[in-house]
Amino acid sequence: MPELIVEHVSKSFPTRGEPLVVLRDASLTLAAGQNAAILGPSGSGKSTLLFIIGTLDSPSTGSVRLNGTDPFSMREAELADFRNCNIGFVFQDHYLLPQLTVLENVLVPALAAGTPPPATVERARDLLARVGLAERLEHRPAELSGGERQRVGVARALLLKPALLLADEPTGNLDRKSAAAIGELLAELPRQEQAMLLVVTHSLELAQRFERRLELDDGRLRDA
Amino acid sequence: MTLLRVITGSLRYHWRIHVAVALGVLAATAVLTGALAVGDSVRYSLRRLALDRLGRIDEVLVVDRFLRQELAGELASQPKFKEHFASATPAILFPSATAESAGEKRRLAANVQVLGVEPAFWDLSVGHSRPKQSPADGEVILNAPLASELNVKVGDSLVLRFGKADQVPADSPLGRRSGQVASLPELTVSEIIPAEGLGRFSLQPSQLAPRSAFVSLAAMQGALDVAGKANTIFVGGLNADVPAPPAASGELAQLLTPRLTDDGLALKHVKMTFGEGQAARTIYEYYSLTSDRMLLDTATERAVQRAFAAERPQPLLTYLANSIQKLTDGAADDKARIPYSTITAIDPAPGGPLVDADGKPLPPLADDEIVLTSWAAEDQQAKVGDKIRVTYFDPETVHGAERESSAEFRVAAIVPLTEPASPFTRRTPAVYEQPPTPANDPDLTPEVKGITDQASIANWDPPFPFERGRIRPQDDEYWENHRTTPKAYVSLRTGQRLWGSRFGSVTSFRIPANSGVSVESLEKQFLAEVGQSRERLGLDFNPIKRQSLVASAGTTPFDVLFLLLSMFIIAAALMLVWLLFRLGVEQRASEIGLLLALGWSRPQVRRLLLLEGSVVAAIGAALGVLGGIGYAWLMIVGLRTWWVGAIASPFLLLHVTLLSATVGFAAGLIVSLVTIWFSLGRVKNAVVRSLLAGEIVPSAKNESPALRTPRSAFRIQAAAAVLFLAAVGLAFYAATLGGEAQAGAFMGAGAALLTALLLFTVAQLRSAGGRSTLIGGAALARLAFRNASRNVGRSAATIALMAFAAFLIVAVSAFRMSPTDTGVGGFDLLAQSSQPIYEDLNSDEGRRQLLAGKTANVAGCTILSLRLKAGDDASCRNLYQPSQPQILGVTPQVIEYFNDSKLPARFAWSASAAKSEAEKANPWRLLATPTPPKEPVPVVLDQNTAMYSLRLYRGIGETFDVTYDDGTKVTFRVAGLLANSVLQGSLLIGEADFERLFPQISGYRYFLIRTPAGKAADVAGVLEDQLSDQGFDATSARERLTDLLAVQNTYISTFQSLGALGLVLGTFGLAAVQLRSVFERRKELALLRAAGFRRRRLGQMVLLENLLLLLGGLLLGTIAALVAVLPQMLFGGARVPLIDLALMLGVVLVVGISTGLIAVRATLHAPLVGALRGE
Repeated sequence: MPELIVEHVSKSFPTRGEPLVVLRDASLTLAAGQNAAILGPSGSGKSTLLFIIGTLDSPSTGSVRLNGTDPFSMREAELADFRNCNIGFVFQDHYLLPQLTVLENVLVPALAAGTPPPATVERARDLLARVGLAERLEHRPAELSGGERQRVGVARALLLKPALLLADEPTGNLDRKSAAAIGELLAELPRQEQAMLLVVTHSLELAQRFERRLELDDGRLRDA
Repeated sequence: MTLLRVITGSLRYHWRIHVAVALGVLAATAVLTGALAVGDSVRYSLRRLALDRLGRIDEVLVVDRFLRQELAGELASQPKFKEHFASATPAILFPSATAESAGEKRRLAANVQVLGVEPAFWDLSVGHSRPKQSPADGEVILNAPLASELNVKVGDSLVLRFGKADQVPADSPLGRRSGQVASLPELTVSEIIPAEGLGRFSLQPSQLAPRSAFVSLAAMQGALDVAGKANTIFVGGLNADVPAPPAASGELAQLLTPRLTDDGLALKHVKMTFGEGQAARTIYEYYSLTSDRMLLDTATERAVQRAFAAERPQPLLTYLANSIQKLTDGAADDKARIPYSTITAIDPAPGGPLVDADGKPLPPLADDEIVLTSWAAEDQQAKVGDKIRVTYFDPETVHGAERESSAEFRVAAIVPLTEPASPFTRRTPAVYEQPPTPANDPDLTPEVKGITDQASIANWDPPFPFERGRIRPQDDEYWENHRTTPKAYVSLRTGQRLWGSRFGSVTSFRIPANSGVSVESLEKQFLAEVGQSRERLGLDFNPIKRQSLVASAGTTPFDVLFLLLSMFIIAAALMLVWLLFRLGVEQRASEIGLLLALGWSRPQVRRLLLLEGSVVAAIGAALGVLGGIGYAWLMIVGLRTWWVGAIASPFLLLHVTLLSATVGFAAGLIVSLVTIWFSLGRVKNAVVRSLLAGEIVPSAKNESPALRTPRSAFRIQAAAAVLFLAAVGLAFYAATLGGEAQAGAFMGAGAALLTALLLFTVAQLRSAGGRSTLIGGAALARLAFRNASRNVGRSAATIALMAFAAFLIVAVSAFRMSPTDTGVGGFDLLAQSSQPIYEDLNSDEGRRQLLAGKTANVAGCTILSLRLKAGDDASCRNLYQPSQPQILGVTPQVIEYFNDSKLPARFAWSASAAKSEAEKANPWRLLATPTPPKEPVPVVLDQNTAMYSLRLYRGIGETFDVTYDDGTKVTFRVAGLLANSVLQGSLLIGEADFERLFPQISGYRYFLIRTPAGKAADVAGVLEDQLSDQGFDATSARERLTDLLAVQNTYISTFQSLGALGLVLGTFGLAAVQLRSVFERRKELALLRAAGFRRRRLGQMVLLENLLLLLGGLLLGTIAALVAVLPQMLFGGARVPLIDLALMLGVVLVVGISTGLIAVRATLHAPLVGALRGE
C-alpha cells in the first residue's frame, strides 16, 4: 500500500548567530489517494516542509519515507530518478518553458528518461484534455492565461503517474475563478490517478476542498 | 518531442544571449585561427620567396676555382640527367663584389652579388621576371635595390670590382695580396629589373633582397682572364615548384665528367733522356701531378694516394729558400750565400733525385740532414759533414707580412748536377753534352706564375719582399742553365714540418712511369677514384631549392608567437564566453530548477545546457574561422607596416591553409566548450529551491557562512603586507643586478606589489560589507563601492583581470632595449669588405700601405680585423632557418685587446665556459687555443642567435653540427654567449680553428673599429674612400644594433598593442558583469526607483560601480608596472613609450566606460512593475 510517512522532521539554517529553526519535529502520514492541505502564515515553514517531502531539500533531522523508500539515502542520480518517477510538483509560479508548446511542456518530465514514447505523448494529450486544454496543445505559454498555465502545470505534474503530488501555493497567483477551477482539478485529478496530494496554501477556501487540513505554526505541524 | 526539440526551442527563445556567447566564441576562434593563419602566411611567403628567387634552379654547383664551362653542357647531355633535370647553365658568381657608380656623385655599394651569365641563364626564370635582353659586353643589368643604392638609371655607367682568380692562397708567401682586384669598368646600365624572380637570386635564403648585378659571362671571363671557364653551374629542374628527389640530387655529381683541370690539377709526363736514337738512355721518367694552387690540399692528397696506391706515388714538397749558406764555426758569410733557391723535401727512392752514382737510393735523411747538389756544394765550398743554414719565409703570413725563419742542417751527401752545353730558352730546354743526372730535374718545382715562368731572375715578379741586389751573376747563370731545379734536398718529414701549412704539405706527386701507363690512363684512373669516393674535391651540387624550402619553415614559429602575443584577446574572449553563458544560465535559473524538480538529474541538465552551448559554440567557431582570416589579414598588414621591424622586410602575403582553418575551428570550439562547461559549475551545487526562485545559491554557502569573518580579512591583509615587503626587498636586490636579470627582478617586484595591492583591495571590499556606507559624503560613490562588495569574488576577479593585463602590457616595456656600450662592445663602427684585406689596419705599417696619406685621419683608432666565412645570416632579422651561419675568426689581436682591464666598454656575456680567473676576466681567451682535430670547436655567439635562430637552449657546453656544401661536417661547442650584442647572426671561433676549418680563406673581411669621440663618421668616410677597391663598407655599430634590437622591441610593441586590444575586449566582459549585477539586483533597483530614485541617479550609481572596477584594475596594474619599469628607465637600457602606453590605456578606459553605459542603459530601461513582481 503506497504511503507517505514523515517522521520528526526538523530543519534549521546556520546564521551568524544562533541557527534559525524553521521546522520542529514535524510528522505526517498519507495513504494512496488521500489528500491534505497545509495551512500556515508566511515564514511558518510550509514550503520548506514541502520541498523536503519533495526531496528538493533535506531535513536536518527526522526522516521521510515514500512507499517504504528513504529518498535521502540515495545518491544524486538515483534521487533524480526517484523524484521523476514518484513525485509531481505544482508551483505557484508555473515555470513553464517559454520556448516550448503546451504539449511539449507537459512532456518535459518524460524527457529526463529520453525521448517520450507514443504512450506518454498520448497520456499528455489526455491529461491536457482533462484539464480543458485539448484545443491549446500547440500554443506557447505566453498565449495562455494564468489559470491555463497552471492547468498545464497540473497536467505536467501528473504525466508520469506520480505516487505523490505536491502543490506549493497553486492558486497564489490566480484570480478567484481560476483558483476555484484549479482547486477542483487538484481535488479530482490526483484521486482519479490514485496519487497522494499535499497542498501548501494560504487559502482556506482551497484547503477546504481536501480531506485533511494541517496547520504549521512556528515550525510545528498539527491538525487544523 | 525530443531533446533536440528542447534545444532548438531554447536556442530560438534565448537567441540574444546565445548571439552574445557566439560572438565571444567567434572572437576567441578568430584569434586562434588568425594566429595559425599568420604562421601559414609567414611560411607560405618564405616558401614563395624561396621559389621565386630560384626560378627553375634546383641545384647549384659553386666552386672556389674555375671549371671548363663545357662541363655544364656535358652534364646536360647525359641521358640520366634529363630524367629529373631540364638544363645546366654555366656562370661566374661573385657573392661579394663592389659596385661604384660613375659621375660627380659617385656612390659605392660593397658586398654586391655579381653574376656573369649567358642568355640561357634567364631561361631559368619563371613567369615574366626576366630582362628584355641578356647583357652584352659593356652592359650591366642591375636589380632595383642595387640601382637604388647606387642611384643610377638606365644608361648610366658604373664599375664592378671583384676578386681576381689567383689560385695560390694569398696567405701564403707566394700568394698575391695586392692588385688582386679585377674590374669591369665603364659598364652601361642596360636595364634595371625588379627584385623578383632571378632578380632576387641569392645563394643565401633571406627575406631581404640581395643587391645584384648581371653581366655577360664572356665579359667576366675576359676581366678574370679565364676564357672558357666558369665557377658556377646552375641546374634547372623539370618543375619550378617541386625540387628533384634527393636521390636525383645525389646522383647529379656522379654525372659530371670533370677533367683533371676541373679539379685544378695537372698531370705531366716528365722524361729526361740523353743521347739519340738507339743510344738514347733514360735518366729519369715519371708522371708529375701538380695543383694550380701550388700546394695540393689534404683531400686531393688523399685522393691521389688512393687512386695510385698500386703505383706507389711519391709525395714531395718544394719550397723557396731565401738563402742557403755554409756555416763556418757557427758563423755565416752573408755575402757568399746562395739567394732564392728551391729546396725539395723528398725521401730517397729509385728513379728519384737522391741516388748515388750507381742509381741506388741514398740512405734515408735524418731530420737535420741536407743533400746539396754539386753546384750548391761548389758554390759554398761545402763538403759532407759541413753545417748549412737555410733561411725561408714561414709558410703562412701574418696580416700579409712574411716572417723569415731559418734551419740548420748537416750535409749528408752531395748529388751531382750536370751543367748543360746550352741553357734553357723560352721555347727549348737545356741541351746536355754530358749525361745529366736525376738531380737535373726542374719539374720537381711546381709552376708559380711570375716566377717559374720567367726567362730571367731579373724578370721575376714575386709577391714577397724580393732583394734583387742579392742576385749574383752565378745565380743568373744557374737560372739560365737549370731554371727551377732544386739546389738542395731534405727529408719529406723535415720539409713538411718546416713548410707545410693549412694549404697543404705536398706540391706534387711523382708517379713512376710503369709500362702501359700514360697521362690519359692515369687521369682516367684518378677521376674514376674521385668519382666513386665521397670526396668530390668540391664538385658537389648544393640542392639549393630543397634546402631553401626546408629553411622556409622559418626560425620563429609565428603561429605560436602570435598565439602568445594575442593571449589577452583569447583570454578576454573566453572570459566573455564564460560570463555571458553564465549570465544566460542565471537568467534561466528557474527553468533549471524546474527540470531538477521534475526529476532531471543535474548531469542531465548540465548536458542539456552544454549541448545548447555546443551548437552556439559551433556557429561561433565557424564564423570565427572567417573572422580569423580577417584577423590574420590585419596582423599581416601590421607586419608589413607598423611592425615591419620584426621581419625586416614587408614581404608577407596572407595565406590560410585548410588545416589551420580546421585546427582553429576545433581549438575555438573546444576551448569555448571547456569554458562553457566551467561556467555551468554553479549549477552543479545550486539549491533547487533557490533555482526555482530564480537564484543560483551554492548549497555550500548555506553550510559555511564564515567566509567573511574578520579573521580571514586579517589573514588577507597580513599576506598583502608580506608581499609588499617582498616587493620592496626584490626591488633593492634588482638594483644590484644588470641587464635582463635586472629587468626580470624588477618585474618580479612589480608582480609582488600588484598581488599585494589586489589582496589589500579584496580585504577592503570584504570589510565594506560590514560597514555603514550611506552615512557621510559622496553617498552614491559609497553605495557603488558597497554594491561592488556584494560579490567580492566577482569584483575582485574583474579588478585582478584588468590589473594583470594592464601590468603586463606596461611592464614588458622593461624589456625594450636601446643600444648600449656593452652591446656594441665599445666599438663605434663595424665594417665588412668585399675583398679580403691582408694588411693589419691596426698597425702603422698596415695603415701606411693601405691608407697612403690619410693615416692621420685614423689616428687614435683601434681597428681589429677578423676573418670571415660568408654564410647565412643567423640573426633574428633573417626568418629563414640558417643552415650554414656566417663565421668570424677571432684573431689573437682581438683577444689581446679585451685583456685590457681599462677598456671603457666591452661586450657583455650572458654566460661563458670560463674557469680560470684570466678567462673570467676576458672570456674571449676561450678561443685562444687551437682545438685538436675531431674535437668540437669552441664557439662564441650571441644569446639571441643561439636561442632563436639555432635553437640552442642548453647553453654553455651544448654542441651542434654544421654541414657544408662539400659534405664536411663541423661540430661546434658553445663556449660563450654574448648578451644583446651587435655580433648577433655570426658564429665566432678562434683564428687558428678558422684557418684549420677553412684553409682556403685568406685575409680579413670583418672589422671592429673604435674611434675617438665624434670621429666615427670621418673615420668611416676615410676608410671607405681609401679602401674602395676592396669594397670597404663601414656602418655605425649602434645603428646596426638598433636594427637588431628592433626585432625584439617590435614584438614587445605587438604584444602591447594586441594586449590593449584584449583589454578592450575585456571591458565588454566587464559590461557583462555589470549587466549580470543589474539583472540580479533588478528587484532592489526597482525598489529604489519606487522609493523615488530617478533613473539618472540609478544610472550614475551603476556607472560608478563600473568605473570602480575598471579604474581600480587599470590603476593597480599600472602602479605596479611602473614600479617594475621606472628603475629600468632611469638606470637601465629600457626605452618605455610612455605616450603610446598612456594612449592605449586611455582607449581601454574610454571603451570600458562606453561598454559600461550598456549596463547603465539596462538599468534605466528596466520595467519597474515587472521587476517588483519578480517577473
